[in-house]
Amino acid sequence: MSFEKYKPTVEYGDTLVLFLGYGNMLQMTVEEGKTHQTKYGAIKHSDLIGKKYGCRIVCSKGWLQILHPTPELWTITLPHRTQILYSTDISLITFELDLKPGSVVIEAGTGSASLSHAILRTIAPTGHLHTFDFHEQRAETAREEFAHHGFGDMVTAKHRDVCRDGFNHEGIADAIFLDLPLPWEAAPFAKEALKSSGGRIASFSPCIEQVQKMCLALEQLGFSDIKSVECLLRTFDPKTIELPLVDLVRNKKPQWKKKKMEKNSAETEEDTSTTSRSSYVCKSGICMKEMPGHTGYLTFATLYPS
Amino acid sequence: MSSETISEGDQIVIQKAKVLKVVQVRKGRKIWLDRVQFSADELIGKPFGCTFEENKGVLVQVSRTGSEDADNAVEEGKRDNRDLQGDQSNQKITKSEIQEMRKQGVSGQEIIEQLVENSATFKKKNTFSQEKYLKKKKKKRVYQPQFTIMKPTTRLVADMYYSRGPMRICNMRPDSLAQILALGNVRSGNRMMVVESCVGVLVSAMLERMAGSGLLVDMYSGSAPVHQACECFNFTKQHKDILKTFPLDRVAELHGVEKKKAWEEEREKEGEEEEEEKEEVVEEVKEEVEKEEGAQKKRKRISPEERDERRIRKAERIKEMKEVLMRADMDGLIVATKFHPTPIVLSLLDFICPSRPIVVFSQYKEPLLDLYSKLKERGGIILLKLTETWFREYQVLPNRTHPLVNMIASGGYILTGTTVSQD
Ligand SMILES: C[S@@+](CC[C@H](N)C(=O)[O-])C[C@H]1O[C@@H](n2cnc3c(N)ncnc32)[C@H](O)[C@@H]1O
Repeated sequence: MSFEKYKPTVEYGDTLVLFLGYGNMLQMTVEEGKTHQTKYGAIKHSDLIGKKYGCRIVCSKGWLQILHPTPELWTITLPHRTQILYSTDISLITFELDLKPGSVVIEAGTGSASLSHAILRTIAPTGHLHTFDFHEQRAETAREEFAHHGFGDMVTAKHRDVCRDGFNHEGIADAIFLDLPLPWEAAPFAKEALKSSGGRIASFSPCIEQVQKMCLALEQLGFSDIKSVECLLRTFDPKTIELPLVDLVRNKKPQWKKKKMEKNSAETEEDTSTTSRSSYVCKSGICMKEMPGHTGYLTFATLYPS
Repeated sequence: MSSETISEGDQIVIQKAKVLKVVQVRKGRKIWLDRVQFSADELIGKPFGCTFEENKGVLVQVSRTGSEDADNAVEEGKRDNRDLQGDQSNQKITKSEIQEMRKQGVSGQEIIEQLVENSATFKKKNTFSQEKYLKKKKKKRVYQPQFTIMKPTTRLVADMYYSRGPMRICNMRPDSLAQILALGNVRSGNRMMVVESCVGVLVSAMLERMAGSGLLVDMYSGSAPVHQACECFNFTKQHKDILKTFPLDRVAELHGVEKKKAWEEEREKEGEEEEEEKEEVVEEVKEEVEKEEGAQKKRKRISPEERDERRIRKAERIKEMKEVLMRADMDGLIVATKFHPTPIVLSLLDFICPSRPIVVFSQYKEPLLDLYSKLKERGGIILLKLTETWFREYQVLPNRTHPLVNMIASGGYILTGTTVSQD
């Protein structure tokens, strides 16, 4: 019940995030009589009640922190039922669709509702999200999740093939988002569903051929300002690096002996932060060896009133 | 604000090709767009999203023609060099070159001049057929400047500021702003702190996402906060009411550092006087930026009584905000400033609840590396992550799809973290 507002302490029914270390997080729902196993030992749910978010919980073999859920943390920890969108693309979609409190948004497919949570956060408390998936179980699970997370009144999750049957909405949406294999088949319905005063559309596709077909469809339907982009996240690992300085003068004493001497003398302490006599030290952001090199292309367009 | 037609007093975004401009609709106001001038009166009552062409000083509402890129592309895709001699041989400028000029905002008149310049046959024609040629070209919508009126949104305003001079907004590429807003969990109802030197682009983006609910404290430096970009929006009073300010040079007092000595206070007072004047200057600069004639605001003289009253009000405001901040229950901090972020973040961290995001933007990586290590030392913050987005736009045309040949090399760096309690 804790997505749409920050709350100070943990109650039954809350979904929270356990932080066990960088890259080691999991989400759980606090339920009566339950226990959760972590690598640091067992947590009794009842022990969490009344605890402040952000506080430390001591287990038998270590400690962890309980975090308030946010759409961004949810995206990292949610149960995958499909491929999902991640925060970098999600941020851009939210921005490019002009979302703000009160926006009415249509989304297909719901998938694992990673994007849906971020949309709901931004359009709350007065907006509405209509989200569709032709996979009945996914629509159902998403519906339960939304209710659980306190978004129940703000979202309608339906089981529907939007490429075949459309959205069953006309002139209601400020923005539409499509994450479908054949988005161009849903595009004519999307046009219908947008408000007569116009609106924005976005589509996510992993393959360039899909983008080409989608752009052509949007163009033919009368959408304008069509723009396709790619946005990737580069992460830097901050490190202090130390490069040894080469000797350009032939030394009488061997290098290891000199180093030992320096360590003992007090004067070297002065400028170890930048350069010492035997090495150059600085802070750097190291790029990871590998990074996601492609998620998908995002296509954005505007429908102006006719 | 939700009105779908343009009314007097509205801030509107005018988009012409890729150029954006924000103006306020005022009766009798002349709006300049490149070399084209028209009266704002003509826009009143028209729906947002409508498209116009200017014809001899009069606006003509036209139906938006989708770009002709697609049709041409199919055509051009089919053609190879062999056929280049066809009907094009008399004109050295190609269709795609024309479209490029259009995209760059070259005026219709200029394009036609270029066409004439590059036409092998134009000079051979007699005057009558020369005129006929010009008329034919002018008629083609391709050369006629069209512009569209839109409601201001963060997307458009950020784009406008960025394309006019990214330095003024700390080189914050719009997709970086998009990241900041999401990573900061900016939403209605939150109580946020912000430190920015982006002429208000960040503050206004947050105001839009908070929609008049919650609290936004702009921790400003210098004599007065700059919120120029906020004026681009049609924010209601309720929207703006959640925006409060607090001077960064009073932050030490929140930490219990004694008030400055008397002589310093004296100096401060002088500073405040300067500030009142600065506020006026800000107003004037804004007018200048808009480059509108006949709308120059007269410099108001402030009476000594009014000045005293302002000072008292300001002192009250500060006292009130001090109390709010000392409760240490803020929901987040967003920083995007020209100052070194480390001291700012370290001194404001104490006022944030545990389990809340902080987001620090900088156009340089090094200050964030410093902040990262200082935060590690301090503790009480987890999930520290230093990132940058790589953003690339594509030309999508049948058989001719490829990334745009130019991209913006850096959009700035973002350090994020989550506060946790230390006990
Ligand atoms: C990749 S997932 C979407 C993931 C989602 N954006 C997220 O962030 O969690 C695509 C979803 O679209 C659904 N889908 C595919 N074709 C559909 C159609 N014609 N109508 C409705 N849903 C469809 C699939 O069932 C799948 O769940």
